[in-house]
Amino acid sequence: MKNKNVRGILALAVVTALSFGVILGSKALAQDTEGESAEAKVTEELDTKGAEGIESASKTEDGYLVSVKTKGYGGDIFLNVSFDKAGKKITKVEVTEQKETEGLGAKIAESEFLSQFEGAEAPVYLPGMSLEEKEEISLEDRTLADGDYEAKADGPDNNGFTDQVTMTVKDGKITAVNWESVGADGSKKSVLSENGEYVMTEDGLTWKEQAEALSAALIEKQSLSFLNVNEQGKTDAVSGVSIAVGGFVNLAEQCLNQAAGEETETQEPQNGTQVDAVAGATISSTAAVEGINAAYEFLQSVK
Amino acid sequence: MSEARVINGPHIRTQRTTRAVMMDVAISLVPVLLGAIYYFGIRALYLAGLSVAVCVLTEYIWQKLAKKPVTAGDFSAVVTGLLLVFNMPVTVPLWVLVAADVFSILLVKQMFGGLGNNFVNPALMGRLLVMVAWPQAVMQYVVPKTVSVDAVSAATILGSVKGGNTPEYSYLQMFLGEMPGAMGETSKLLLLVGFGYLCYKGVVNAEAAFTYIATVTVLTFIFGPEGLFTGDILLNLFGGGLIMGGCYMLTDYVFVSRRGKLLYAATAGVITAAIRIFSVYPEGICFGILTANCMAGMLSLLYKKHVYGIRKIKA
Repeated sequence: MKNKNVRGILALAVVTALSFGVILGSKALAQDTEGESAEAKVTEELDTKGAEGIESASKTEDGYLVSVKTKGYGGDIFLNVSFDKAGKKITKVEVTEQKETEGLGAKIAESEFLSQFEGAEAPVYLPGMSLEEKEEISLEDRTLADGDYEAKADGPDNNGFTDQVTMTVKDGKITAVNWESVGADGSKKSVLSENGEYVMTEDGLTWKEQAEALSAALIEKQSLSFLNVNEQGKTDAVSGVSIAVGGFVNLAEQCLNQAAGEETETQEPQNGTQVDAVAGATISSTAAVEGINAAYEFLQSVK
Repeated sequence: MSEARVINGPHIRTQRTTRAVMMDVAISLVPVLLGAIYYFGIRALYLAGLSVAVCVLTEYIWQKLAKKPVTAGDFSAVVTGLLLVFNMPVTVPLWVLVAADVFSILLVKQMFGGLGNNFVNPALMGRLLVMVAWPQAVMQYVVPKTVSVDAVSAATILGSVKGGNTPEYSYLQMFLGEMPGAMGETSKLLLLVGFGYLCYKGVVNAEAAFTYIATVTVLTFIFGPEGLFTGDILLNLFGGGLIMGGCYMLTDYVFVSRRGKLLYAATAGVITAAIRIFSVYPEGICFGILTANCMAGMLSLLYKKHVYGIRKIKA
């Protein structure tokens, strides 16, 4: 019995030693074949002093690399954002550290989410998310010129509908607002919903009724700021309105800007690229997007 | 307490005591420990020392306080301490490790009556506690020192593949242990070396471990991510903690009958595979084995231990 014990331990020691031989040997072999790393060479470190959330930044052979920290749901998220030489286009986004919920927020580290940033023009934004903190759009500060105004979305949404908003201003007041969404075949959402071909919910208001309620609310308040659009592009400021109103708000704002005679740079209100959030993980997705934008803004400030 | 205990015969005399068995298990884990130190640095050794010390001490103090026979020296707490630490990444905060140790020994093992009476594997339960209570402490896995000098954290291979990425490590690297993961489960080679030692000493029955591992591998292959028969066998085999789970976590002394043991192992395998295939958790080992643990009583009804001296009555 004693003999077997000793022999067993000896055998274990020998086999363990052999195993480590294999491990070390394979490591030595692997090192020979290992090529240069894919990381681009750093040519210049950039000063990140005073830039909040920016961990490090450098100029590389292919462009720029910015490491940024942003606040997620479960803790800090660390991102490595690579930009092209012009510092405008995102070439790659990596999540180096995150503590988001497994299976939910943690999906921001997955390629399905991250790959949509590759080649995207910065800044990036999620549907219904506004890039700048929305300034209070109150009508007291500006006078609206009378007339009819119209704004149209740049392109169709995921379902193939293109939003458009028309607005009439009389005596400096908004007197009529119409929100319409036109499908690729020219069909109007208002007509479709009235005929029951475009159904949102069985018992709620139809799309047309909701759009009209929204328009009426805008006429009543003469301002968009009461809408408080949340991250999903929805609002609870108007009862019965459960549809995503982000598109409407953007377009109505454009109409107002036109009426106020302001630069209609907002024709493309969000120059940049729209990306999709991880389903069910708005906070994590927003944090990632904000981190990327922070990296972009930092780059613009030092470039 | 042990004065009036009657144990029905027949008895097999053996020199194999709990202490000897557990010592063998502890010895078999030494190669894994060496591997952990090689891959993740000397902190792995400190953590292992701490974990073992806390486990043994907890058991000792409890048994003293409860005025029970002190069995803290029987190496079973040592094994629990080692298995627990091997289930954590090297970056685990000390207090999380200590909490898991105390929880495993005190609540899972001793409160249920100590060695042999606990209905689930204490080490796995400790891991589950940490997974649920402090996920950020154990889900930040670290790339081995041999890959990157900085402590770069990374998702486990299974986790990252589940997220739609292609694995960055070769199967050989996964087998040898050069991959991010918990300290003890990266090197399949060293785990198998230790397991080989246990088989040689006759401490474990390899059949159950083999059944478990084979069930998971076959099922994940059949119900692969891209349809039937598209699973990555080697990835599922070497990419995570399957070998660790099968060889060290699964084995249970509850079943004497061989078929019962195999049924138990297969059950654990089916649950693990189902979790890997359908849920958000990439590993599923912890849940798979723990669920099978809980079902052990029910499964043992199907395959009863042999009862000597009674003829089966035909109903």
